[in-house]
Amino acid sequence: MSRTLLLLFLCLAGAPPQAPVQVSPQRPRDPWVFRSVLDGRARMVTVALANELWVAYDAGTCGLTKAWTGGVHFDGAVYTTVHGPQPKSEGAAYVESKAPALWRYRDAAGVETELRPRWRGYRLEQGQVRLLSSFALPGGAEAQVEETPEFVRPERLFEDPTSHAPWLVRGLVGFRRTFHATGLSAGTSLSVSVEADCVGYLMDRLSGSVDREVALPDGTKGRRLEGRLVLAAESPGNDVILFFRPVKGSR
Amino acid sequence: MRAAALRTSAAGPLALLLLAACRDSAPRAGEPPPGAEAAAAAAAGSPETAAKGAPEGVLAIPALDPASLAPATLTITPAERDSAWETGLWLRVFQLDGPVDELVELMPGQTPNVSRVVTDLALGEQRQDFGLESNYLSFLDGALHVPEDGRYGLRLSSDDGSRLSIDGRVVIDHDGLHALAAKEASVDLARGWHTIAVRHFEAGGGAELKLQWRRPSATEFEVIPPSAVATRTGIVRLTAPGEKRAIRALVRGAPGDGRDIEGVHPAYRLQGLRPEHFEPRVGGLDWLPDGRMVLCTWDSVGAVFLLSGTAGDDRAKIGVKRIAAGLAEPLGLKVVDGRIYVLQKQELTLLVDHDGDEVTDEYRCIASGWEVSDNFHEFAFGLAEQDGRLYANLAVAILPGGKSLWPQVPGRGSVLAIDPRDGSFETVAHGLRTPNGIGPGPDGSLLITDNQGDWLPSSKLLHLERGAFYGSRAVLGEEAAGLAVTPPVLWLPQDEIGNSPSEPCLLPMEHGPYGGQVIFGDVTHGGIQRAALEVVDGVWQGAVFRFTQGLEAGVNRLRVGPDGALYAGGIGSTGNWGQAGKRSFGLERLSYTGGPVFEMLAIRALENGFEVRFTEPLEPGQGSDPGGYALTQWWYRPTAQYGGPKLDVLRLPVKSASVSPDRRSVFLEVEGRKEGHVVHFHLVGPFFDEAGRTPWSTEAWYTLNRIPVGPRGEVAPAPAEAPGRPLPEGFRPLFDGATLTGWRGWKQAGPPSGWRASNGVLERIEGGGDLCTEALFADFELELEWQIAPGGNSGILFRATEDHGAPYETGPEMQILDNQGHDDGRNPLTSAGANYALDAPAFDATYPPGQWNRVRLRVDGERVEHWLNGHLQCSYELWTDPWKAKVAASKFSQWPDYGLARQGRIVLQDHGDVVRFRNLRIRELAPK
Repeated sequence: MSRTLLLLFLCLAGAPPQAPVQVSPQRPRDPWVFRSVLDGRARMVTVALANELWVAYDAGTCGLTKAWTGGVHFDGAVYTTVHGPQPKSEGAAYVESKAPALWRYRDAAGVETELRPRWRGYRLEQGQVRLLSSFALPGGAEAQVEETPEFVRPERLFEDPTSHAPWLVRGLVGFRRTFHATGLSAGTSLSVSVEADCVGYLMDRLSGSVDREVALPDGTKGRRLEGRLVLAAESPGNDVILFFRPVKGSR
Repeated sequence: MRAAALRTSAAGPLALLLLAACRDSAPRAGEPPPGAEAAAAAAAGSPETAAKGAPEGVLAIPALDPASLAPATLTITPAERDSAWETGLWLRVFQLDGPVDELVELMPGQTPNVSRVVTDLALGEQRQDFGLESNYLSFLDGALHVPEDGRYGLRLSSDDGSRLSIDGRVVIDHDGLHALAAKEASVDLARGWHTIAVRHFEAGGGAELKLQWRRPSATEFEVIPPSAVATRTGIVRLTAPGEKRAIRALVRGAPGDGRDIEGVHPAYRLQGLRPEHFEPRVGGLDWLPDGRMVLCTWDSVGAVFLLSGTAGDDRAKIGVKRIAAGLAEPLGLKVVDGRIYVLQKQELTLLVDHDGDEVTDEYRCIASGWEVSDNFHEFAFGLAEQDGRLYANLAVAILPGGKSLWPQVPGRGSVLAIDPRDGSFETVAHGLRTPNGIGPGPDGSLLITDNQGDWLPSSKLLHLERGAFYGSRAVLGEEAAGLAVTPPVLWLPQDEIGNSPSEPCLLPMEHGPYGGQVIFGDVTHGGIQRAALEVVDGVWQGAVFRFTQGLEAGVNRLRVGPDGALYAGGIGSTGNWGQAGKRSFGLERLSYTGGPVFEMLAIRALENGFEVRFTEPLEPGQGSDPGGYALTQWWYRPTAQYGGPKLDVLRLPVKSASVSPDRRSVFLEVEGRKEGHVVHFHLVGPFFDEAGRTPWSTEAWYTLNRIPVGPRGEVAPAPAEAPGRPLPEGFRPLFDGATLTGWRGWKQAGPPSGWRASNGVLERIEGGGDLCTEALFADFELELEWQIAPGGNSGILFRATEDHGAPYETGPEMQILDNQGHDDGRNPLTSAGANYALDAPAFDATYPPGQWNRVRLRVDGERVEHWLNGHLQCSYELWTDPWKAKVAASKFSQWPDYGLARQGRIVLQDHGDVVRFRNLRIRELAPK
C-alpha cells in the first residue's frame, strides 16, 4: 500500500470520535495536577492522568516534556524531609522531548512566524485539566491556546477498535492531546510540532506530517509521526491521540 | 553516638560523678531502709557536717542489698546460687530529664523505666536492648563468678561512656561522649564471687555496651558468659514511665534571665487553632474580607485551606476546607480585595473560583519571569502588599550543608515588586541569602529578615530600601565587593536571639505598651522576638528583646488578624529547619490580655549613653546602681565563611545609672561605644518593679549603626541611700533595723555574740550560733532579703522547737547559699531556695554574692512555698504521705519530730559564713 493511501487509511479510519470524552474515572494521585521541580527542571506541571500515563509539561516553554508510565519518585524537603533531592519521574517513557515544541503563527497572507508561548496556568473543569498559554501575535493581538491531555483506551473510543485499524487493539495506552485556540482572526492559524514513536495514532488534522515505520523500544514495529497540529481561526480545535503498548509491570 | 557535639544542657554544664558502690532497688522486708547508711555516716561526720546533718557530697542512692553486695566478701553457696540467685545481671535503664554528656548521678528514689535481667552481656540499640532512644542511664548490677585465681583482662566497650566496678572499686573508667570504643584493664581476682557494677549513659545515636574478659588461661577476650554472672532473684523489678531527675547543678538564672524565656508572654493568651488531624506547615496566611482565614501549606500537597471560626474560642468549631492543591512549596499568600494570591517557588499564582463553590478552578499564572533552577533552596518567600504591588523575596541556591552555590542563576537573593495586573516586576533590592520574611514596619516601611550563612555572620532584620545591597555575594561574586552594603536594622546574634528569623509584622496600637513595635518569628530559635526601632541620622537601628516562646512549632508566618490578635503559623523539618522538641506544624492565636508585665520596653541611643525604658515603674530605690547593668559590645565582619564570630568583644563600663522621676526609664552613661557594633544589655542583680515583679526578660541587643549627635542624657545625682522598702499591707517588721530586739540565740536567753544589727542590716559576722525569734509562729508569710559572702552557706528554718537539739532536727529549712561558690550548689536539693535535702528548685534564681536576694516564705498549715527573687522555687505539703516518704529517705529520718511542729521559732542559721539580712517582716496568717 502506498504511503499516501496508508496515511489516508489511517486518517479515515482513525479520526478521533466526536463522542463525549471518555475520561478516567479516577486519577492515581491527589492532587493529580501539581507543580514541582521534575527531572532537573524547575517549572514543571505534572498531570497524573492514569497509572499507565503520566505527562509533564515545562511551564517555561509550555511544552510537553514527557509522557510515561510509572509515576514520580517524590524526594526532597516537603516529601521525605531530605534536603537536596528533587522529584524524578520513574518508569518507561512513551514520549520524551528534549527540545521544546515549536509554535508557528501563519497570518492571513500566509507568512509564518515562530512564536514563544507564555504560560498562563491551568484550569480544572469537568474532571479534566486545561493547560493555558497565550501568544503575543504580530500586530499586538493576543491568542490563547488550551491543551487538554487525557488518557484513553481504544475500547473506550470504539466498540470494536480493530475494525477501524488492525493495530488498534484493546488495552493500548492512548494519550490524547486536545487543543483549542481563541483570539485568532480570520485566515490565521497557530500550529505546534508533534513528534512521537508509537504503535499508531489517530488524528484530526496534521499538516506536513511524516510517517514512517520504526522499531519501538520493545522491539516491535511502530510508526514515527512528525507533523504539525494546526489550530485555524475557522477551525480552532484539533486533537491527536498517540497509542502505545502498555509497559509490562506498569502500575 | 551523635557526630555533633552536644549543646550545653539546660541543666548546666556541671555534672556530678559518683561511683562507689552504686546501689539501688526496692528494699525487701527486713532490710535497712534506704538512706540508713547515709544517716549513719552523718552521725559520725565532722562538726560542720553535723551542723547541716548530712555528709558532704552527693546523697547516695538507696541501698540495693548491702548484705549480698558487701565489697570483696561476697559469698554465695551452691544452694543459694540455685535458689536465691539467677543467671544474668540486673539491667535498669533510666530516661533522663535532659541531655547528658557524661555519667551523672540520679536523684534519690528514682524508679527505672526498664528493669529486667539480661544474660547476654553484649547489649545494643539494634536489638532494642535498652528500650529507650536517647538521654538515658543504664545500670548493670550483680555478681561475677571468677573460676580461678589469677590476672584477668577486662574489656568494657561502650557508646557512649561507661564505668566498670568490681567489688566496689572502679577498674575501668570509660566515661564521656564517644562512639563505640573499648577500654581494657588487668585485675587480679581471687576465685569466687565478686560484686560487679556497670554504669553507662547514652546521649543519642547508636548505643552499645559489652562486657568481656580474658581469663588467665586464655589468649582471647570473650563476652563474659551467662554462667559467670548472677543476680538476686525474687526482687520486685519496679518500673515507672517518665523522665528521671539527674543530680546536676541548677541552670543559671530564671527563664528569661540571661537565657531564653519559657512559656507564653504573660500579657497574652495562647490558643490553639488546629482542629484534630489538621497539621498545617504554614507557608502563608491571610484573611478574606468576610473574616475567614486562608492559609497555604509547605508540604507534599502544596494546599490552600479556608478556615472559619478562628477568631472564636472553641477549637471544635473551626472549619477547614481545602480549596487548592498541587502548588510548589508555597511560602507566601496574600489576599488583595478578596483575591487570593499564592507565591510558589517559580510563580505568583491567582486562585480563581469560576463556579462559586470556593474551590479553585483556575490556577492563573500572574508572574513567573524570575530565574529559578532546580536547587532545593531556591525558595520564594512572601507576600507583602504595598501600593498595589506584591513583594516577594527570592532565596539563593545552596549546597546541602549551607554553602551558597556558584554560579547562581541571575536575580536570586533579591526582593521583587510584582504588579499583579500584568505580572510585570522589578528588582527592588538584592544581596540577600534566605530572606524568609517580608512584612510591614513602622511608618509604612517594609522589613525583611535574612538567615545566617556565607556573607552573613548572623541573621538580620533589614529595612527595605530601593536599590539596597545587603551583602551576600552569592550571585555577583567578586563584582559585589565594591558595592556599599546597607547595614541591618538589627543583628540577631546567632543562637542568642535568632537562628532562622521569619515573617515580621507590626503590633497594633491596641497591644498596650507594645503597640507600634515590630515582632518577628523564628523557625529554629522559635518563638517571637520584639523590636523597638528608631532612626538616627537617617539610619534605622534599635533593640531586640525576647517576646514569647511556648508555641507548638517554630514560627514561620506571623500576621495580625482582623480581630487585632496575632496569628502564628508553625513549621518544621529536618536539619536546622525547625525548633528542637517542637512539632513540624502549628496554628495558634495570641490575644493581648493587657496584664502588666515588667520588662525593658525600648532602648534609645543618646549621645552619651542609652536610655532604657521599662513597661512599669521601677521599685523605689532600684535601678541606680551602675553594677546592675552589664553591657558588652562587638561587631561582625561578613566573609565567605558560613556565619561568623563576634569580633572585639568588649565590656562597656556604665559610668552612672540615673532613674527618671517617674521611675519608668533609666539613663545609662556609657563610654567606649563604637558605631557599627552590637551592644548587649543584661540586667544583673535585683530588678523589681513597684509591684515586686522581676523582668520577663533581662536582655536586649541594640544594633548601634549610628551614635547620635544630641540629645544627651542627664546624669542624676546618686541617691543618698536606698530607702527601705515599704511594708506591704498586713505585715509588721520582724527586725527594727538597729537592735536585736525580738531575737536571741538558739536555746539561749540573749542574743549570740556573733550577730549584730545596724543600719537596717542584721548580720552574722562571726561564730556564735543560730539566731532565732523570741516569738513562736505557726502560719505566716515571711519576707526578708539576704546577702551571702562568696562561698557562703546559711538558711532560714521555721517551726523549730527547742525541746530537741539543733533547729534542723525539727524545723524545715529554706536554704541560703552561694550556689556557684559552694559545693552544695552542685546538688539541686541543697541549693539556694531548696527545701533543704527534700525539694529542689528548678533553676538557680539567686543573684551573685554581694547582691541582695529577696525571699518570701509562706507557711500556711501544711502548705509551704519558697519564693526567691520573685520566682517560686519549690512548694510542698507537710505531713502528707509523699512528704513522709521523702523524709524517710533523707537524713531527717533520724529525727522523728522533724517537720511535725505546728508552731515554732524562725531561725537564721549560723553555718560559719558571713550572711546579712534586711527588710525582715512578717504577716501572720489565720490558723488552719
